[in-house]
Amino acid sequence: MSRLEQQTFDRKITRRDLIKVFGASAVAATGIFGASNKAFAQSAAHVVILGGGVGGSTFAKYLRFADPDVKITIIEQYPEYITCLRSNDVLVGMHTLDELTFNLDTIRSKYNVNVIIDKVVGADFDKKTVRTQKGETVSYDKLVVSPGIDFVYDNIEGFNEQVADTTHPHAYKAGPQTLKLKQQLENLPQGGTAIVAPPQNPFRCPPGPYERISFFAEYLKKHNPTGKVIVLDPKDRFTKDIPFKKAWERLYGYRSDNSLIEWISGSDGGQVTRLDPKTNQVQAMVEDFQADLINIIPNQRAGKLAQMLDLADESGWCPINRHTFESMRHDEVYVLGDSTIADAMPKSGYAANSQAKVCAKAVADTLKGESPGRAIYSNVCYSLAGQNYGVSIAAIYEVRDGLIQPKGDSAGVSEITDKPAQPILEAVYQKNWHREFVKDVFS
Amino acid sequence: MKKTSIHSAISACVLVPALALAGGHGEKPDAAPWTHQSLNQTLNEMPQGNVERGQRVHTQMMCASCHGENGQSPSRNFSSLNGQTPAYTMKMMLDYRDARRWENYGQATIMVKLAQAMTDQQIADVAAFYAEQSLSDWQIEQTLPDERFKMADKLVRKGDASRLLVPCSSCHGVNGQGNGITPALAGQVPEYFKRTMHAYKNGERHNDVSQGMSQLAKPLTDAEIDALAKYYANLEGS
Amino acid sequence: MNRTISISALCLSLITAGAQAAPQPMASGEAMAQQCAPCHGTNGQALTEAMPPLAGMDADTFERAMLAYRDGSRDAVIMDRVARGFTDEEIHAMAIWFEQQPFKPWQDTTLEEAYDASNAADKAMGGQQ
Repeated sequence: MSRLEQQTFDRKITRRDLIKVFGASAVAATGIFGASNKAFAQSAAHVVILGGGVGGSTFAKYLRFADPDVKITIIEQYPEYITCLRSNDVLVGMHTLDELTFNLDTIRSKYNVNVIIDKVVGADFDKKTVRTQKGETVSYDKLVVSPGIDFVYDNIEGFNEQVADTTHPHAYKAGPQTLKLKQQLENLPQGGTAIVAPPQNPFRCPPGPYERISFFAEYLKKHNPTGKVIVLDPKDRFTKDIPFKKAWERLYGYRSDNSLIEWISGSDGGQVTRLDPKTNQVQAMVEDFQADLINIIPNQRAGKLAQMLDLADESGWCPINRHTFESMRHDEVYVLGDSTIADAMPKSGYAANSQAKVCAKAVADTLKGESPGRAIYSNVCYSLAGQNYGVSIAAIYEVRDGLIQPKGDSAGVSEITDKPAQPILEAVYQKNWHREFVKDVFS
Repeated sequence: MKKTSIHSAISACVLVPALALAGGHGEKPDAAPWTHQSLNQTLNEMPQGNVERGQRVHTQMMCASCHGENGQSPSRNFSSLNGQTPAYTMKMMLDYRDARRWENYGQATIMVKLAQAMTDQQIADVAAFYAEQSLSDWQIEQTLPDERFKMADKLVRKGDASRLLVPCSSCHGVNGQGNGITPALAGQVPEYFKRTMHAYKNGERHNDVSQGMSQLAKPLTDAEIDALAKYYANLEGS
Repeated sequence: MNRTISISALCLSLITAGAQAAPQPMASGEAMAQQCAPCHGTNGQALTEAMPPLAGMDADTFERAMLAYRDGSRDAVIMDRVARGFTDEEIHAMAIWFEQQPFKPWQDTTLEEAYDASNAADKAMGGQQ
């Protein structure tokens, strides 16, 4: 190792750590960052990102935009990442899980990012190190955590992780549960009943359960027209409920005698209290239901990593500085995405991508000794109420009165119009958005 | 259990076309390529278009959001439709609907989905509406140096016998005003013009009858296509 | 009327600026433009999508489109809502930034080209980025 390279890493990373992290051959042969000489600037700091999902991957790419020299490492547990985004499509055959599976190869090669596939088991915030399952210790100057969500089952008797993994998939993290739920929908007997129980606020992808309900109804309309979807909701309102319900009226006879969807609100006793996995019965506040398919989406909190690293407060979510997404609980640590308390911003992939860009610039500015620029965020959630019927919610956000709030007059959901083109265009745009979004995140 | 109250079913008549295609996402209709005879017959059988109804279709289908208030594109990304021949507009809509134009291109997807949601009558009406709007020059100024202007002008008026290129004007008119199924080009958005010519040249677009356009696009150089795009963008039609 | 609005807007911005010690009156053109990427591609460089590429769009076209979306004179599905989140100055800064981005797909663009485009945008804004 050259003297220059040694200086690059100063005392925070020992040579042993360095070889462990970057691989002996890489260190010996080409230096840490291959051909880019810029990467060897003596003062280059090391930013370590925990989690290579939407937040972590976007952060790495945009930190590279903001700083050609900084050293960037992502530590991610799994070599491949399946987006929860569009996983509802898989349930009705519009996408395969393979099409939603991404890796960090382009992030690694195009943006000079070191990727470690390993599980983080702890951190020492004083020494500024993280420990992994394989026994590595990695030092950082700034730590960025993008841990996603964790599920909470304790408010529904009889429902737990094991039940979700075997007989009653929630399918709210894309993977084997998604395929199991797809099969259960396909196996629904003619005239059968499917129950979908959305979670209490706040949760990941607020329109997700309602898009799923729409897809179930569209599937039944085609393949099982005497079947029915009963929605047991703990809430009285949900995101985009006005355009969603208008779509259900137009497409699935909602509010008519032969509606494919029956939605029972929290006030009407929609809160589920008990599941009997053996008899396929659920107990809601209002009464008991027997069904052929029961899809309960559990309540949520910040991801396990956030809980373990003491980044979440008593609410179960992570408080952050609204201007930079720096943790309010630990210095030099930043938290992104679904696990954060971001006020008016929903827990969505788009929001995580937006926050990651602001945070990346703030981290780069801070490392240069400059004060971070003014934050601006955005979110657009496109959902499908049918394969050719889109509904959306959109807003630009700023920090005002200490909270992240919609900027100007931007916040709003799809207008209800009599223009047949509008929902068609929104469905086309939804697909455009998905193709470009995953590219902005992973390539 | 408390029953959700039953409201009278709200009519979804405006969405009937959308409903009809709910099952057809991504499925490619199987349309035979045009012959002169089949195209003429199809166009002859189209209903009579009406300008006023066409304006309503233009609003209902949100055409203006990309193609502008009177069909004159507000940006370089979309084609202008004002002053277009009704036969050409109808043919394009039918080609999008029936998958003769099925380009792997996001903007084409918009047109496929909208065309599939429209009736023959609506297509004829909106074509009549655009034909009624006057042609105009592209509002973003195109600079065309003398030598490039001459290059384009020669192709338009004389063609190039050595490459078997007939003059563009023999079909599109001396002023680029179009004729029947041959589109008007005057005032067309130059980026759209170039994209289209390259699509013909590379074989990505083949909804032309008997390769009427693509065989003429193939010999053209990139410089010639660029010069023609600007030349036509600057023309005022009439 | 206009005068009243601008004075009260000024007061408001002074008050908010004081309350949060916001570092700049507005986000940089780059920071705002990056928020458009999920639909229009990284740096606006998605060339074959339903949503148009913004990279290389001349600033005047960009500004006219955004203002027309914002005041409702151009029909829109979603851009009317997005445009209502930005002031004239912010729209101008984004327009300048996008104008400098190369008109080609992001996957064919190197990091060096992206840095150059960003620097060019910085210069075009008179170093105000």
